[in-house]
Amino acid sequence: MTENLHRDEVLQTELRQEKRFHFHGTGAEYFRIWIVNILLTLATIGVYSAWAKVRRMKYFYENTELMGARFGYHANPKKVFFSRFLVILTVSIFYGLAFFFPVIEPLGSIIWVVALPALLAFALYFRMRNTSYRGLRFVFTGAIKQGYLTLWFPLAIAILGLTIITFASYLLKTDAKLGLIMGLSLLLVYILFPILVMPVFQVQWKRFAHEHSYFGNAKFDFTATVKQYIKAYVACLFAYAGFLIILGLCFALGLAGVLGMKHEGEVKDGFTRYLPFILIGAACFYALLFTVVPYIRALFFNLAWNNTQIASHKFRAALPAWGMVKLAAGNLLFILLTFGFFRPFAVIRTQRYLLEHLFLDLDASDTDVFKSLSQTNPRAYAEGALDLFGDMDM
Amino acid sequence: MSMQDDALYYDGLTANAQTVVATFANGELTLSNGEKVIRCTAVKDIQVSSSAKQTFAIVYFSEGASLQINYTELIIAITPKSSLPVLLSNSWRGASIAFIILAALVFAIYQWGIPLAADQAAKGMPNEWAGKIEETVMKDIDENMCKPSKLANSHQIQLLRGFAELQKASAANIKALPNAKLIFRSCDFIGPNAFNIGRETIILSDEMVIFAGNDEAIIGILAHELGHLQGDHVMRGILRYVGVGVVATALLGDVSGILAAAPTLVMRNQFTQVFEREADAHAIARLKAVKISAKPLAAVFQKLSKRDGDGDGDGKRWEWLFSHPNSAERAKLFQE
Repeated sequence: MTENLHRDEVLQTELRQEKRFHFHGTGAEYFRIWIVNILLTLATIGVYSAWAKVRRMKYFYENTELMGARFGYHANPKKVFFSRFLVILTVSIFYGLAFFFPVIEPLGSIIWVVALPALLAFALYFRMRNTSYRGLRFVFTGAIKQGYLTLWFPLAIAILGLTIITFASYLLKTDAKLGLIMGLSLLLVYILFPILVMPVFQVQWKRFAHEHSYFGNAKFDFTATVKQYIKAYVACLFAYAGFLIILGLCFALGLAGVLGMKHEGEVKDGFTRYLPFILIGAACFYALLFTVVPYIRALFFNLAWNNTQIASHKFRAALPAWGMVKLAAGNLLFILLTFGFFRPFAVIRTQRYLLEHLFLDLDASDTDVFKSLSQTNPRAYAEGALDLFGDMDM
Repeated sequence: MSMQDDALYYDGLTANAQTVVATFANGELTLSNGEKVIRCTAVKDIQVSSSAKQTFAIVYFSEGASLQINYTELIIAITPKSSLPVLLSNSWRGASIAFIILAALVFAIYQWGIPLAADQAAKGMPNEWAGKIEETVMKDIDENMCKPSKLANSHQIQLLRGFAELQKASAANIKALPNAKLIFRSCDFIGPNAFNIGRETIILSDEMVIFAGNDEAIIGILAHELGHLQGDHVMRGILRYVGVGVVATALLGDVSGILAAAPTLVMRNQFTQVFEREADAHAIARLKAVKISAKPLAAVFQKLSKRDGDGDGDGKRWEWLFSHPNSAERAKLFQE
């Protein structure tokens, strides 16, 4: 049985052709786009930021090549602007109201959670519809109602957790003992949330998003299981715990250094006395942050892409965590040395590195891959009212 | 004159690529596959997207069709006049110009733009809003930071009497501030300090009274705080603070928070230092109006300076990092 399975897999791989992604963007080119974007955004008090986003996205998409063809980005900057304006307006109105009626402030995060699936769906409609490859647009056809039905479990848990948080912080002020009990259950929520709720949310959402996304008439699929994501989240939790322990040690070391010096009476004045403490602590913090974060990023990049397929063609990602860590460390060093001006080069380097480790295993038994793909869904070009909410993925 | 070049055409209906010959003549771009013409489109109806390196271009037609083509004379001929952003970012010269304008703009915004806008907004801010902020801050202080004062009642009354005197004082640049309130609190969390939290309320910590050890010095400190009140420094400060945050985010928004945080802090502290100097000058004038010496206040700053060790060398060197000017220097100011 196992042997048979194995043989099947071998046969399958033999029929597959590995296709690479190529990234043609350069730091020098992107730097110039970046600096002009910053200038115009500032000069227009932020209005240009929508146009800046479209220019940036266009640059990245049009410089990404797969099988000799480039991707395309087609968002209308005016729509991006209006959706941004809408977001800012809504948030300001809410906080304006919260200023005069503080009661509603804790509601903010609950409203946010309730709105999340709809916002994610709007963003996906917009993003897919405005992405093209070989003359065809991508399209997402999922219904918002179905999104809510799919995600009811993590949403309910999140709302419950937030209610407990609000209630516990309120109780702490009036009745410390009861508040403490609530606080402890809160801790439980904090631990359970990342390892149970987040994986479920992510897998269910991705499955929903993929299964309703098309390139032409070819459908996407997502094959990862909740178990795989729980494993990844537990790995993250361990990485993060290790990070906190080392950080704590660093701070203790720094503090010991400070106290030691005070004892010897070498340095008396305020700022210089705490300088080693601040420096050691900050150095450890950033060093660790820039190892843990790229590690997590690589983990999830591989997990997501290795479980993504379109029709019978599978994506494969082999992003090395250690390589990402080295890349991020180099980027950070240069960004600091150049007072931030290395930033666009760092973004390009990272994008190239990601795409160098992403492959499409083309199902070669499907001989006329592209001829059979056609734009069947008229929705791909329909400009809807939902575009107003399209740019939520700021 | 006509130009032609090989290209890949996608018709927008299938993902299939067709090899075509693109020809530009008489304001029209014609695509043919050797046997027949596939499409013929007026140049005004197409969009051209080309890389700054000028090796490659994509031509978009209106209904989703597109053409991938090498960057040649043909592309130059059919590209409409570049927009300003494209022109600026296509060459290092353009990018340098953008950079210089950006630097000047950032300087002007911090130097004049934010202070001007924030001060105007503070002027327009109704007293009820300021009162609301005061209420919230006071609640927070009482819940999380301070306890009721442990100063003897007689001592409090004595200080309040001195404060009332100061409040009434008026001179050239000194206004009487009848609405100002003085509140005593014990705050080991904050330590020796006096601060105001809006347009009316000044909070004086017991620790400050003990640290100063001299009521005339406390009167001097209160004169300084009245300077903040008269200048509406809290509201102006909050708005400038927000302004710096907004500009820093716009500027460094896509840079990680770390990089944005440091310059933001430095810029914010520059503004508060200006306010502190203004309040110091105000304190001297107000004390003069009620004929109280500033010398005891100078002594407090000397003591502060000694405690923090910022009297010489390092303290002065790092001054730009802090929210308040150097204590030793302030001691000198009040001494004169």
